[in-house]
Amino acid sequence: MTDSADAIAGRSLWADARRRLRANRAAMASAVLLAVIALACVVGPWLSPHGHDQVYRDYVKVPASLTPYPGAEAVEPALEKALRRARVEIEDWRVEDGRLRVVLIAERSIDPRLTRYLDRADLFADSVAVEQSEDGRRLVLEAAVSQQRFLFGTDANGRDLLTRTLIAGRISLMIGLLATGVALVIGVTYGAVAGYFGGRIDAVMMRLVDILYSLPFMFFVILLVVFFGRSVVLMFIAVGAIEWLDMARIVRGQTLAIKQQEYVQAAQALGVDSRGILRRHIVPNTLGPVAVFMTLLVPKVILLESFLSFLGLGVQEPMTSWGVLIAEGARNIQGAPWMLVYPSIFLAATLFCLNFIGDGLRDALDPKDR
Amino acid sequence: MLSYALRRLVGAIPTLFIIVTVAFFLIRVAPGGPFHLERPLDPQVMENLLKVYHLDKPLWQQYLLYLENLLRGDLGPSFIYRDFSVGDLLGSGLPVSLQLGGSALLLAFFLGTGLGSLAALYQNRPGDYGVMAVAMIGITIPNFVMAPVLTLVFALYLDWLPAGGWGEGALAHKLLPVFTLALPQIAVIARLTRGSMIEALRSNHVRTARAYGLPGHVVVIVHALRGALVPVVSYLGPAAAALITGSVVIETIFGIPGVGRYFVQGALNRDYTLVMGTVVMIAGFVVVFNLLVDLVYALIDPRVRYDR
Amino acid sequence: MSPVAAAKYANVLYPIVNAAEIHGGALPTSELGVVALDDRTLEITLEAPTPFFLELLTHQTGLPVHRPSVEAHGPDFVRPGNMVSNGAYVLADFVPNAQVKLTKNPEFHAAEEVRIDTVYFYPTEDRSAALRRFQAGELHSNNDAPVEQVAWMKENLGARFRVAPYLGNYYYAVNTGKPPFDDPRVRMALSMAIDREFIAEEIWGGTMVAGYSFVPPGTANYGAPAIADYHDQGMIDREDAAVALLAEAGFGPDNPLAVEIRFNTSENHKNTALAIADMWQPLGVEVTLLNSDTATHYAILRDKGDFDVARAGWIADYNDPQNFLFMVESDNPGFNYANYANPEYDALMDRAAAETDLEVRARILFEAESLFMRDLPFIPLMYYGSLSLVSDKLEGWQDNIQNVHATRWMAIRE
Repeated sequence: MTDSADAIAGRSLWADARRRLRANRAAMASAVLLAVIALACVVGPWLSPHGHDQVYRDYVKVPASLTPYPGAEAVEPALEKALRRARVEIEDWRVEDGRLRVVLIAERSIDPRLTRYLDRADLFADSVAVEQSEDGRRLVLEAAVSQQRFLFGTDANGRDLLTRTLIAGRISLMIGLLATGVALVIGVTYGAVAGYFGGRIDAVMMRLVDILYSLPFMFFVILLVVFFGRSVVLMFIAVGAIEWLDMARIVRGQTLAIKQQEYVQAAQALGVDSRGILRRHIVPNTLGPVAVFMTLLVPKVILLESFLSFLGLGVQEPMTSWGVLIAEGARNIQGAPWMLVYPSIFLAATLFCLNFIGDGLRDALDPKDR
Repeated sequence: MLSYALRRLVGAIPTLFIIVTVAFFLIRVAPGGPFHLERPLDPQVMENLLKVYHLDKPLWQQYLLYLENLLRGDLGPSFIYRDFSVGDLLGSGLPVSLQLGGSALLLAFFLGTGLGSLAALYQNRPGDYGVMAVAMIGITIPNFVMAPVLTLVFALYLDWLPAGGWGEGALAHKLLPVFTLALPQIAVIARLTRGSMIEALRSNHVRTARAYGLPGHVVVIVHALRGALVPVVSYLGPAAAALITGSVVIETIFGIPGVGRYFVQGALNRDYTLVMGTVVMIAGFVVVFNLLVDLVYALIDPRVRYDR
Repeated sequence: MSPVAAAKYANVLYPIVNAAEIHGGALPTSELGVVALDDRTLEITLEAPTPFFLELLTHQTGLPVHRPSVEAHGPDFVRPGNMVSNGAYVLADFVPNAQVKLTKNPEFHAAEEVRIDTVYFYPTEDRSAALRRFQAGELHSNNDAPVEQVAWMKENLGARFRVAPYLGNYYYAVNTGKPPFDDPRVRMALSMAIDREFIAEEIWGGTMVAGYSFVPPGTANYGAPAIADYHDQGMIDREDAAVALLAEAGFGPDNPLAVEIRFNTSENHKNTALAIADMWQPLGVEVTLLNSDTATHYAILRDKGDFDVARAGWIADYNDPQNFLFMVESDNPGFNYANYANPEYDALMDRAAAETDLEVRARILFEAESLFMRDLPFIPLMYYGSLSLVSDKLEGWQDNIQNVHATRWMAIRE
């Protein structure tokens, strides 16, 4: 079974695993979907007509819609709002073929420069004064009604949610993968060493883990944030530095069990040194639960980041992450549910994919699963 | 085993000491103090306040004062809840949080292992997919989203449960918070159990047991489950920690007078004594809990030995 | 007043003779200008004529405390069972973070008029959760509401959602000690370009009112406050003027002004800062935002740390313009975040403090406020509004500028 014959032919073990992974359709499909999401997040914001921090003051919290804004009924209120400070009266207005024509009258001569008020409004652009009466008290303006599409709606500041969701994905994915990577490397090494050597070394190493564990995570993050300012890099260092503890614990637990297995004892009898045993026997055999835990860890990291955002300690504006968007969305559940729904869909899809990939990895790496 | 446990407990004391010291100095280093909040204070008022709470003394002196009080069991006054001492606050909040957290942990363990085992037994069949889908939802949706959603459904639309408050411990008030708190852990434990159950079900000793003709459920529960629980038990430590972090959100949203809130509010408000008190309490709790977990390891997996 | 008591609001009663000295430890408490002439008469002597002193006494520092209880129980005199009240209610239970329970006080001088027997106060930190509990009928009133859901509340709750003017000002403090913010033209330009109506209506959902003066209108002992003259100018004109001012001060496209806005963590503070950053863009100003938790934010302001522009808010302790204008007096470091030092301003405030004729005093304070609005150590943005959720069943809830709602005047309609 799993004996020294496999240990010598170590390389083909990994090739074996790769073959099994490829055969797992759910995992492959998830990998593809994940790649698509990642691609969308990286490339999407550049392709989007809206900037991720571009504020549309007239489109605060508008619902998601496939049809472009403004709808016909939105024109008049927007027109009134735009010209409110200009001290003019709207005698008549009309929209034809996407062009607005408005007739203004006032007590005094109207300054034709007030086309700028119209341009300021997000609904209108390129406004020109077409006609003005002799005494200047009557002015006719024409402007183009600019169409905007907000496929996911806008947020509380009037920023396009689709673009923001995609750009948030960049940060979230980066934090998730990198922090998990950090936790993985440190945690597996630490846990395997502690579990394998046991005795005093184990006791001391686990004591350190206990101490670090008991330090409330909040302080650590608050203090880091305060000392070094708020940066994304810092975020994943902080999160990774917390998460390795769990990984180490689990690996240590697994190692304690594996250590007693026959093949390990056989290898020891054969005179293989500790490093070799760790590298060839212990670590590969812990990879099953580690892979599963890792694919639970990436989501956990992303969610932990969202928890920090909920407390206000997350990524700084104008950058954003799915956690920030979801925290905002949760506060607006009863007024603007789209702010919650769309980022959640992205987050959920990513996490689903990661889980399927994790399952695939586990099945592929598990030597007993034939 | 007993000597091991005793050694661990005694060994925990220096751990606690280090934790207290590190936490004490860390929290003091953060800028701002308990009186730097929204409302500005007259400088003389501020000076008097600092003097009364010994915050004007050098840091090491404050540290020694704190240790002295700590040994006498006095955790100090709270800076923010000025009518109460930290001991009072923790005393009233701890039973609540224990109930909340304990129920959530138990729920997560039993429901999680149950669902995970079912999924493993019906691997790759609809039962498996169903359980895993529910687990997905539990893992993917943050609790500060789950809480309002569940409240809207159960408290407002269906009107089955109250929308918040502790109601002095009434069962109806506990259902939503405990479930919302436990949900992510149920999901994680279900997945872990499923994974290790699948392995265990294929293992030698289970096959042997089946070959002996032992009835199905005996095989599963007595033989397969015991081995499969190892990673789950490993996870109980992190699960408890996650519940502590999660309880902050749950307690805030549902208005539950537990200790989790003090945790974060204390740090954000620089309520030094409250923060220290919570740290001491949680550190002690974690040490004891981890010891229990290790002991349970040895119970369920006789191959695990604790070396000399 | 005793330094050992370290009362947070001790400075409210500084107008009493020797109060400041006693609080500073220079004099014993026996020197305080308060004497009980007999069992029913209290004589208070003031440092200077203070026309709003009666107003000060309505603050919580003016509430009486039962001395024998304090002597018998020490700090525990506030516990339920020990606490003696002269008001309409008695403290029955206080569980931190859970509830405060009050029961009717039979000894109250107007006890027969008090119609509600038991009151439960619940701390509701999360406003959205509080809204849900209110909707579920578990709360008769809540003293705040989630600003994000104003539109929804206005539509679905109708009269149960109340917004009332509140005596407070939401402002941006400018570090007048730090160049280039020591140039009043820069401050004026920044102030002119802000579309306060947009922020108040869109970001705060109409729960705040655009503010062009520091003292809110309707403040007692005052007439109309000193409103900025550009308040009804069109935004484009204001922006043009702002650009011109900045150019005068030496800033333009080839020398952009860099501003960092600090604010403490909150959704609305963030959205406000974002909107203002967007409004300063046409001026060619480069804005960065810095968000910290509340304690760090105020530590920097209080301890004279480095900042350009920082968000702050002030709710008046008592209903008088002095409670707003005193903040930027040069000898007031605890409140004067802007580090503003103008001897002319200080002189006006001192004159006002000594003036007994309320009309004359109002005019002096108006002059001071005009100076304020010209120099803009703080850029006032909005006047606060108070948000409340009030159930249909609750009678007797009156909107008022200090947002005080005594249960003594209320009743529950079944």
